[in-house]
Amino acid sequence: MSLLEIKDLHATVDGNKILNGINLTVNRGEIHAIMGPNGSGKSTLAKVISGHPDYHVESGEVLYEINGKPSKILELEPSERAREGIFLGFQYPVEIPGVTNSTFLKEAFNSICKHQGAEELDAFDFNELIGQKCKGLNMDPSFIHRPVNEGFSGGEKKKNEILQMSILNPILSLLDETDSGLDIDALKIVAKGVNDLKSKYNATILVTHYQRLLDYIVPDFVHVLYQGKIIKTGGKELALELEKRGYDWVIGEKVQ
Amino acid sequence: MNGEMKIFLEKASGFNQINNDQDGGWSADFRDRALNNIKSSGIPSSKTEKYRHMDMSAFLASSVSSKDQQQNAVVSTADYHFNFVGGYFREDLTKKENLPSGLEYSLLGGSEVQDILAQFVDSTDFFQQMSNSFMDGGLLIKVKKNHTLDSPITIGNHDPKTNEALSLPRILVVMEEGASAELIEHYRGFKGVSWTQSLTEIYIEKRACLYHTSKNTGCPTGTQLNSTKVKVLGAGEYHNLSLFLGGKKSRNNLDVELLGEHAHCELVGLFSNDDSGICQNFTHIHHRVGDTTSVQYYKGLLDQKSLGVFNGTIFVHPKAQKIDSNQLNKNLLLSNLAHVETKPTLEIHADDVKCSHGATIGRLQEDEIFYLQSRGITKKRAVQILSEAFAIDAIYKFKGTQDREATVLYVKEFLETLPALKG
Repeated sequence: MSLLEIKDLHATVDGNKILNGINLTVNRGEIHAIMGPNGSGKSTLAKVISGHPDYHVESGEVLYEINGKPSKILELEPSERAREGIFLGFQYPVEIPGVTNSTFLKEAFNSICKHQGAEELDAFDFNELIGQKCKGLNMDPSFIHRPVNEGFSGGEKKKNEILQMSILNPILSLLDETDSGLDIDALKIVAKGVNDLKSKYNATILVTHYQRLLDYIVPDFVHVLYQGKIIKTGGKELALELEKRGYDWVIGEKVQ
Repeated sequence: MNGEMKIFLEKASGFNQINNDQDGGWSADFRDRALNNIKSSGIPSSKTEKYRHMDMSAFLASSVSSKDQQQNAVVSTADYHFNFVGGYFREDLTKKENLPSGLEYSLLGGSEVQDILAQFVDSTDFFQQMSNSFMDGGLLIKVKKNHTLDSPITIGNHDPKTNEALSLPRILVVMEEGASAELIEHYRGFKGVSWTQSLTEIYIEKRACLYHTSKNTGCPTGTQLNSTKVKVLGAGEYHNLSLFLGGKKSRNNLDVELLGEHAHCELVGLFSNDDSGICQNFTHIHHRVGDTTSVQYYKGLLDQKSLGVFNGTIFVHPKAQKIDSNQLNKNLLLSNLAHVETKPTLEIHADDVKCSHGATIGRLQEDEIFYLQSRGITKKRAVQILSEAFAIDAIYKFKGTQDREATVLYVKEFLETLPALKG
């Protein structure tokens, strides 16, 4: 059984049609990269899967494996999807003044543990877990005592997304342009976060503009999204070709 | 004379008769002067901006109790050093053994502070004039020269335990040169059609510093007013945290005068209400001389049909150059029917100053809520976390307090009662 199966998905935002029949199957253990020109619907796809309220599904289905069964997740609240192991790494992470990273993460972690029937961690054990994860990602542990994303640089915000991902240990990670605006060191941290998490049980979908991230994370599949549809699918070599030739040739191929 | 004024004067004269001062007529004169003032200027109309939403009916309906009536009321005083019952300072309930050293206190009105009290008199301030017309049995606190108190001074008020619901506690705090202290007041509104009106006057001498928290817990049927008037001399510092939580009507009047070079004040506030409660804040910062600085940060969190008002004015007086002042009011509406009126104001009469002000009113953003939801947190809980964070942020702006944990808890407990944030 596939972990995620998207069937003929159509979606709008503010009345504008963005997704025009997406079909995509993701199995456990796979890394998928979704590429495409600006405005092709890449971020929309990630937000629809995770349940952002601004995006409306017109038709189609998203099935996700819950307790060994394909389940229709479009009916679930975003928090319920997260508790079932779906994680969205934001393109623009939100600042939350007044809430520290550790408080926020502990709340999130324990709500997921509780749902999955695992034991919740107390403050002491949880801080130890965060400490380990920071160390693993070469991140300054003082990070966790700062209010969530407040006053963070663009790179720090993205690293914080990866830290959250590594602590929440999702089954399906959706990373929405997590690589944009990053210097090479931050990019390596993002890649390490994704590679450390990779196992035969979970899968990752990377939404990205550039091939650069794929130097550090090797995708099993590369999809080109254009006008809300996947118009070409290939292996990692497709990304290299896109880097050299741009998107026009794929679009041209499609038109013919 | 209109009907309201007639009742007011009857009440005041009744008060004069039941209180037997032992100060050779000084208190009686003090009250008379205030009363004459009110007679000539009248009870302000709720049609004027400054007194909008004001309603004197609870005051006029209440009756005055005497100090003697409040002497025997039994109250639990576990939480405070100094205790007011029915508006009167109960000296016998003072926790003398727990008072920090370097502090002196007495009943208000001795000859040595009469001059200071006279300096605070402001004939244009109706609420102060009201408190002055009912002046009796207040508390004087003095922190001795160059003393730093090692723990906060705490003051609370208690239910009059009689049917009378009128309560007018008053305090004068004198911070002598170089003294440093923290003061925490906690006023509660009483059940029924009550009127609780406190007045705290604070005199900060050179290089002295006071951290002052004013907690005001409203009651759903009462009116609660708190006036704080502060004078800060050269290089003195005044830090205030004003919390107005709940209640049918509450009003925060806070006036600070910076009177000497390098005087500084920081005013932080949080007001929150639900039902159809009204909470008003009127703050004035006077930069009377040059080289003075002020910071102001007020937050409002309004649920249901409640109304919040922030009316803050910074005056920079002529010749007061090199002023640095900034003022910000942020409001969060938790329901479609909640209202905020905000009016940050600058009145600048000098030319070499740096002043900024601003205000925001908004709701929680969908994107913020979704961010938390995407981490497994329910929408309800996300709204709770974000609202709480909005409020607690103000408390963290009040730096230097020893009481932060208790204050955070006090605010959280209130927020949990707001319908939008319940359970």
